Amino acid sequence: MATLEEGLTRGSEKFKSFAKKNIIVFVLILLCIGFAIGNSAFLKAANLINLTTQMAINAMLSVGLTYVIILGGIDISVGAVGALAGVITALVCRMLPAGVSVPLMVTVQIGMGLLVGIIFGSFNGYIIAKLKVVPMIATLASLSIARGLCYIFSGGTSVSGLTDTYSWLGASRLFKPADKPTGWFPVITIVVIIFVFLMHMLLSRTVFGRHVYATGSNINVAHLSGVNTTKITFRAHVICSVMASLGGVLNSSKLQNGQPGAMDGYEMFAIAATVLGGTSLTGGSGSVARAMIGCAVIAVINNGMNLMHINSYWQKAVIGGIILLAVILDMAQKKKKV
Amino acid sequence: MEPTLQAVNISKIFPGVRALKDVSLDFYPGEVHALLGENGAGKSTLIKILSGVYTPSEGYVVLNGNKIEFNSPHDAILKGIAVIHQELSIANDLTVAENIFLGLEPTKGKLLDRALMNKTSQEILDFMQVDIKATTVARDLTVAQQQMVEIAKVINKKAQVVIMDEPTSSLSEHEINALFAQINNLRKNNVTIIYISHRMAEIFEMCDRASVLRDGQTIITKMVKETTESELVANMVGRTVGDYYNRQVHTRGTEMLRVEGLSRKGEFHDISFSAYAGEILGISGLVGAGRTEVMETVFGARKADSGKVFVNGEEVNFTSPRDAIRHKIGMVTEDRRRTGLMLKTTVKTNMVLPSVSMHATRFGFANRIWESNTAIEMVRKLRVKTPSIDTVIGNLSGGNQQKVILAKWLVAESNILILDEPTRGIDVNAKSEFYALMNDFVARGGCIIMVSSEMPEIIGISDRVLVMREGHISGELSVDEINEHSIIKLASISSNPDCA
Repeated sequence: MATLEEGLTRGSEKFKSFAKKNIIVFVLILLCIGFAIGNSAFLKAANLINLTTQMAINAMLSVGLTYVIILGGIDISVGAVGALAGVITALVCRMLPAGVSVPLMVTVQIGMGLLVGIIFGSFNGYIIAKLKVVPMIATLASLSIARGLCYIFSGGTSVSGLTDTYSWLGASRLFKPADKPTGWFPVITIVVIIFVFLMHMLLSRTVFGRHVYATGSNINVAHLSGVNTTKITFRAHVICSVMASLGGVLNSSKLQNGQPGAMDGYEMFAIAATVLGGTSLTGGSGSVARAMIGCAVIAVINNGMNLMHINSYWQKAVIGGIILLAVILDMAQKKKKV
Repeated sequence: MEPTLQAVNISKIFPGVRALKDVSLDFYPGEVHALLGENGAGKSTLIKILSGVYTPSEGYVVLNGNKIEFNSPHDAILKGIAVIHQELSIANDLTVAENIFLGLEPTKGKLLDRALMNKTSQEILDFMQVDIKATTVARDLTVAQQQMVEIAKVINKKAQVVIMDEPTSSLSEHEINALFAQINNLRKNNVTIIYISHRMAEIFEMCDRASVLRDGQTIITKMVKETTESELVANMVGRTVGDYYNRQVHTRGTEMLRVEGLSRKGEFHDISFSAYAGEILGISGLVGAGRTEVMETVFGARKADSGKVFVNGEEVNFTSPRDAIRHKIGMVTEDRRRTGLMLKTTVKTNMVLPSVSMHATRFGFANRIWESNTAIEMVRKLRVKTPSIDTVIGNLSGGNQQKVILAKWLVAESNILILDEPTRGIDVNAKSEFYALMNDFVARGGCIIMVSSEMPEIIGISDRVLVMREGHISGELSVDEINEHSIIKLASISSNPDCA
């Protein structure tokens, strides 16, 4: 009898969780239909490809954030760390000789991104995993440190005078037929897809990923089951900062300069995307792939509002409202279960 | 004399469990009434009904001759029924006076009348003849002093009935005497006291009458003067221990675990014992005797101050449970929901967690085929009632959840299992099945160390029993010495060592 009862609750729960998990997909489709009706340019291939480049940076940040949010933590320093990586990479690459090849340039850019990410990630990870400082406060501090360093290193002005090679990673396109000299496939989109795929596999298929979910679900149980929860927390923060930092490098490459004030408030968009994708702020569940759907929703809203000539200041306010809505839905779901 | 408080034919039914069955008890003014019973006998359910936390399924409560219904615990407090819980409810950052007046703060106009609060509180404390300042912050008090503040709270509320749940569990001898003085004061003022304790000595020292609950029913109510410790204990234990435990003769093998002189400040001292292959070693004792702490230390979840642990004759030094798991030790913790399960994840995820890393394929990928096959095999083997291995574990019954936790350690190939209160909160059939699984594990050469507060369980299934009292091992009982009297004698501070 117990089995039957459990079976029934499972049935209804399955439906509920299906609806809950996929509501964001319906929202995305509805938004697309809405904007397509509002402006015929929306569904054009060129615009959709544009859309992928617009969500690229946010995707990088959201991927990393997914890891720490599954742990029940947060990282609000992602925007500032990205900007710092952009400034430093721009400064370093400006010193390279003029005729440097694309592969060497990309290696330096990615290398600098990894370096800044690992340094800040280790810093965050140490403070949070070892010294047990609340993630919000710890990363608030590193946000301020990173942003301060941006202005110190750049002298307060944008780092410019960078070559076209520098912007290959962020702004160029592959496959350039005669009728489309600007090209079809943006390098940035390809790069982001590769990273998203790797990070998705890492989280969903590896032992490390299993341990991330376990730690976020119940840190006591994870510890008592032999998971090194300190190490897991540390590594998740390193991943988060590395992704943010690489996102910053892409952003800097895309703009062909290193702005100390870049990516201001990007942490908000990234948190919104992650939560919209169904990653619970209380930890334990979520996925990289779903965070991407969240990113798409935000990108579509921004893109659609641009096409409809809505003041860009409104976009921030709208995104704020959406975060609030997503979090309230998440909490309502939690309450029901208790 | 009219009783202050009466429970009349009270039954309480929870889904699947009948916690109380037709319980009737009278509590008189100026009486200290002991409520006795083993864990699960229904004491806490009864208290919760008397203090407005639960409403009875059948029957009712009578206060001063009037049938009443409590809307909430707060309502019960307003009607004069106060509970002092084992875990004190003192707000650490408030002053003593603020604690005493919590929820009843006096005001002058719209503002808090702090002067009146401090003055009244000090008067109460002085009346109690305890040396506590009303303006002290509660954090700076000892546990005993905090308990005095709890009593001051009760006096301030002018409670007619005070329910005390294990009030002496964290007090020293001297502090207990101070507490008893206060109880006598309350008694003189015609307050009714319902006193719950496992310590027989206290019952005989303090209480006027004693009632024994067992399996949700009142077994006897007696004047303390007219009964003996052994009579009360016999009524508490009651049932004959039968085939329910499916006792089996195990053959003891080699020593698997040896603990020498293990100590941890404030928790336990100089603990030494061995556990062998093919035996169930029961660890008995009162709640708070340090049993869980010792086991968590052996498992590497706490760090010992001194002492040695040997696994299969080899000295080990566990710095985390991870090390213990590598040495094939598994632990089922006492609090399933907090430290046993990831409630929102699936049966499969819970089962394989300690073992995923051992079965990883190349590049650290989790072996998903192995995970599913193992989970399916275990669900079949342990007969876990679940629709599928992907069911969220929070939806299963307690007994099935417990089986999954056991399965988790079987998957990890543990050969030493530490079980802390393994059958807490699971129904009789599930218990019986769980015991069978334990027997099976031991029959195949495993070693089980079982901490349990349920006497029949300890008696029914252990091959050998260690009894702990106040952080020490107070005795060891071989299979033919295991009975309730010998255990209680070793576990509690007996008033009369000869009577048991």
